[in-house]
Amino acid sequence: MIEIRNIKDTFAEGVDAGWKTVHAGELRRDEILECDVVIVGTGAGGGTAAEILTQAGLDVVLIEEGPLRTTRDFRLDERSAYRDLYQEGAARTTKDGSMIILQGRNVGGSTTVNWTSSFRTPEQTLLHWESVHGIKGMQKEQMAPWFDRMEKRLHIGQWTMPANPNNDVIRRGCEQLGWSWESIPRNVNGCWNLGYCGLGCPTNAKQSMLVTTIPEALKRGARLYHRARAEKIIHDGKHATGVLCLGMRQDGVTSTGVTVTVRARHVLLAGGGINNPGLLLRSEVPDPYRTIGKRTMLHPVNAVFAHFDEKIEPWNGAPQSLYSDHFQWKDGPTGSMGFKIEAVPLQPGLASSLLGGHGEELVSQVQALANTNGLLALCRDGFTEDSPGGTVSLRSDGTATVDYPMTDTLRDGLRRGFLAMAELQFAAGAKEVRPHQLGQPWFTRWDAYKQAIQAMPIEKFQTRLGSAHVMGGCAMGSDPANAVADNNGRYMNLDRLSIMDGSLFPTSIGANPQLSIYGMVARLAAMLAAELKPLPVK
Amino acid sequence: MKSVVVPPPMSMGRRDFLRTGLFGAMALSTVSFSAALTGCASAPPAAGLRVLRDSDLVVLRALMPVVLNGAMPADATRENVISESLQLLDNLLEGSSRAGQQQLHQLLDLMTFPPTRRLVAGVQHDWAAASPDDVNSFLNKWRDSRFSLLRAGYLALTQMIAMNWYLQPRSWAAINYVPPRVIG
Repeated sequence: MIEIRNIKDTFAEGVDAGWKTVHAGELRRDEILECDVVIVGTGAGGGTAAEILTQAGLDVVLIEEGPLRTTRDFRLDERSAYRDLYQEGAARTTKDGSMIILQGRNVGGSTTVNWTSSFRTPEQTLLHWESVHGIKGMQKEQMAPWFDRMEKRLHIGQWTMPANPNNDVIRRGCEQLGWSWESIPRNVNGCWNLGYCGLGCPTNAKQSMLVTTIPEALKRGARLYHRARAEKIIHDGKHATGVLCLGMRQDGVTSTGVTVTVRARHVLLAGGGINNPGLLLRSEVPDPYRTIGKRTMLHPVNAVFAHFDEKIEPWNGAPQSLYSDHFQWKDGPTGSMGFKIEAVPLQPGLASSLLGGHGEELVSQVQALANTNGLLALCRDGFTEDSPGGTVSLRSDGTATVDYPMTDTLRDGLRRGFLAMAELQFAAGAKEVRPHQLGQPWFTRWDAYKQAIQAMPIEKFQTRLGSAHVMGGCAMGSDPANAVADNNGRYMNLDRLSIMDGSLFPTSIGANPQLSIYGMVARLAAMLAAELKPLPVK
Repeated sequence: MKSVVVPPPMSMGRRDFLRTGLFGAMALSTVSFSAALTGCASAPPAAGLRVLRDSDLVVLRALMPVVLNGAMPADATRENVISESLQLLDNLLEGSSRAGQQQLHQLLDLMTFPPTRRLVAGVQHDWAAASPDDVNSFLNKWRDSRFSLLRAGYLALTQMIAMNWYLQPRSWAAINYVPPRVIG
């Protein structure tokens, strides 16, 4: 049994040494504060922006809806991780419940719980953004220095340890079939190869915002309010002047009623897809073309599970280390929907929910977990008219939800994903495979499987779908009739308001998005810092 | 006080009734109508719990051992194990959204309210009196239903119960799962 001991908790040490962090849920009286920039959200966008803005001498306040959890809190326990570190206690779904959505909600955001995969934005995606969405200044050569910078900052590099058996299925199957495959760059430093990235890294190896940019910002005097939900942007119809926040109780659902009002020279939204549009909608900011919340992309994911004779132990070892883009750009960026094939780590709680069924069917599948491989196909949505993305709206209690459509383009992508994953698994020596679809059995033969997949309906609540990458909803672009933010990340219809995170993406990325966010936000934050400049000290 | 709403006319086909959405206006109005009479929908959580109500516990006590048949102990310890599991489930649900909690309540209300319990779940009598076969038939019926709403209900219930079980360390020996340990 692996034991982890004596790991430093530098964040906790920093708090003890005087970093300004406030548990907003424990405040007894309303607070009013002032700063240069208030940043809503402490994930990939918020952390990156906070570091760059504080480096430029600006006074920053960070607002985080989720709890502060640090190294010593990460005990590899699924239950507390899902409850504490994920949006809606890991129970977030699309509006109709047909797709599971995994997003972080904690100091560090989704970077605290992601699986470390780090890819530069594909060139095809950047070209598409320029030609179709009018995005300027973000071509490959222009973005390269920003990716260089953030790769160094977050120790992003090729993963050189051998892939675990769950991932090695990708290599074996692709080699057999002559399909391309590669190893995945990861933002880790001194990784123990445990496989628990999704529950918070217990060894500080994962270079999440929690252990990198946010500490740097706090060292420079930034103030962090956690368990503080941003309710509304304060504005007068012409410019934003601050954010009104509510203290949240431990359940993450109920507020205490105590408010924190942050007045700022500039408001920066980094709450991610779904939540950024939600905040904008609640704030009733000018939105003449009703673009807020549209074009929300999810990289819709389907899966196939396989049984092997040998031990796979899919919970063990770096969760994602190999991938195949063999089907990603086959038909060009705007042809039939491309997808990326990756592995999925399977700790028991998550695994049982995915494997599905009830009674003997459920129990026997979970009992076989040690010999189970799981593959995912992440569909590259948003590149064609029949892949318009979802729409964010507000529930009656003011919280945000996304409604995502099933279209023929997506059906076709998912079906080909089902075929590709199983073909790969059989080629790697799988004894039997099962698609992640209600009512489908295990198949021991490729030809029978293929026939079944070609005949089966691809529909919500039959085809089981998920998303771990929420993007868009505040699409960047040149055309105010279609975009929410301009080329500088400025909200189109209100001054002194910026958006800096993955909600800016007008399409999905076609790769796990964290490095795309780091690169884009580093560039935008540097521009904002140059423009804002600190005011002279009184 | 909720306003009393007349249930849909009996001449409306089953298909149409269900199509308006499991948590949709019509289904809700039917349940709200009766619930206003019985005080069920606005019932507070059960003693010691934060989300699950007494009526929810009745349904879940019937479902859990059938969903986890073969994993849950079959001996005298079973009742205790179920009680502990319900406590843990309640704790998990407390951290989900208000909307998620309400949707679960509505789903369980549909299963509890006698007309819809009979019509939609095919369970004639109280859940407390349902046999394992009755419960299994209900689960199969919803899993194989041509109505997406019932399939959604099947997925919601089984996923929740399964996950809640396999998050418990007591379930790990049977699957040879040994996570690393954090010490100190």
